Amino acid sequence: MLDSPRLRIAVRRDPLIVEDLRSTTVADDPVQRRDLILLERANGGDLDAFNDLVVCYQDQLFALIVRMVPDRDQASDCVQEAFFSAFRNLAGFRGGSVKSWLNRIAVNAAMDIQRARKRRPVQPYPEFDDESWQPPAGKDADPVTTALTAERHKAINAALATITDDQRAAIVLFDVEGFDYAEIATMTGVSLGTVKSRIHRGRLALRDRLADRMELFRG
Amino acid sequence: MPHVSDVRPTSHDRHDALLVAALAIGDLAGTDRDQASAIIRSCTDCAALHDDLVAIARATAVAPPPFSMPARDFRLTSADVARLRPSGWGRVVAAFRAAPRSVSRPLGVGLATLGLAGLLVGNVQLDAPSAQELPAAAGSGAVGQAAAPGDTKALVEAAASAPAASSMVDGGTVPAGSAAASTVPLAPAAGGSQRSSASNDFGAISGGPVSTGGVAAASAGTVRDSSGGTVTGTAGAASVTLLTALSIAAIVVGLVVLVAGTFRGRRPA
Repeated sequence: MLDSPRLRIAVRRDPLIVEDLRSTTVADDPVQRRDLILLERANGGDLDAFNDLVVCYQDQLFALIVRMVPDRDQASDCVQEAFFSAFRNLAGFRGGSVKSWLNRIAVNAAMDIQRARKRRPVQPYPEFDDESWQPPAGKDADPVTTALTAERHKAINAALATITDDQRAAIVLFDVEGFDYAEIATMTGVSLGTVKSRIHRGRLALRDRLADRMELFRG
Repeated sequence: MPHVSDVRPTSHDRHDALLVAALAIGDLAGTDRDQASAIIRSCTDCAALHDDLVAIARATAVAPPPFSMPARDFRLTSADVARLRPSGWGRVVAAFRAAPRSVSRPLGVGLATLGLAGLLVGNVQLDAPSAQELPAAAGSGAVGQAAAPGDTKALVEAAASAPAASSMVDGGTVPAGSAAASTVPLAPAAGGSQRSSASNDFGAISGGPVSTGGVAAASAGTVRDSSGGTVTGTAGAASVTLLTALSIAAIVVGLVVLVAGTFRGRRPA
């Protein structure tokens, strides 16, 4: 029976080649590799490693969240809460992008705070809001151009603040942070179609809000 | 979604703005893209809308945050770590939340099922002996008033008064162990000395040999006065109570594991 030709064919069959996707998506990205190492050390109880991760992402998370909540203090609270939550759930990290994981946590924290604000609306002290801040202009910047750019940014941020939370989150994640539809869907826990719909409707809403100031954006 | 025949220069209100928005973002392909392009070519308002949406997207992408970066440092301190680290039950729940769903879900379902089964078995065992052996016991005249099937309250009271019954029987010839466990074997004991089967059913103690004299004493009505104690004993009731408590605990733990796993699945943090 061992001499059977059928058995010989079966033995000669080549083993299946299983492609390891992780090696091409995770290990090849040095940032992701660094994040995973830090996360692993943090999971082992190394607080310094976790704080290194915090330093790497705190500005990016703040820049993301500050567009979703109405004032800077709330954004700071959201980011701090997001890092607390990340630390509590270190063991729950299931692989993939650490940046996406942290963004997801921060977006959820921002959404929670926004929902809480709707339940218990409060009026922030207007004198604490600092809307006059703008990034420093370059040395060769034309004053007119600089002023127009500042006005445009101000108009965009004001319009963003008036659309719905879901639409704002989707637009910020897509346009500003550069995530794709699938990543946004994972972060916000909705379907791909819902993400697209929120972005499309959000842009149309922005255009409605900016209808009388569109000359800032044309040309 | 409008048909191509709807594309007329004067019908801007009937045009699908979402289709134009999808084209501006580059989401469309094939027929939809051709249709949207046709709308833009034929409708100046739609064309303006498309250009505006593209310009807004471009401006949004480069817009700085509305507020300056905070001077605040978000790094965690040792005090934060001590506060955030779960303790007690929180650590148990955190462990279940951290476990992969392939582990937590079967574990939760298994525990809950085990608990339900335990509850079922405990209650069935509580009722079954009195129901089956009631006629025989009635024949021997040793049936207590509390032996009605399903009368759980009466059975519990019987368990409470069992020591009295036990002491009475001890006054006779029945060994304390078997008498305390149950008087159910009193009914078939007319055949002579045998082991208590009901106590084995309860799973707590094995009954000792019951002498004919003891049975005779019970049949004569010595035990009948302590009516509750003739149904079940303290050890049997305690084992049933323990089984019930364990079953409820298993159900609760199972549900906690399931809920923890579910919330972990919905929310990443």
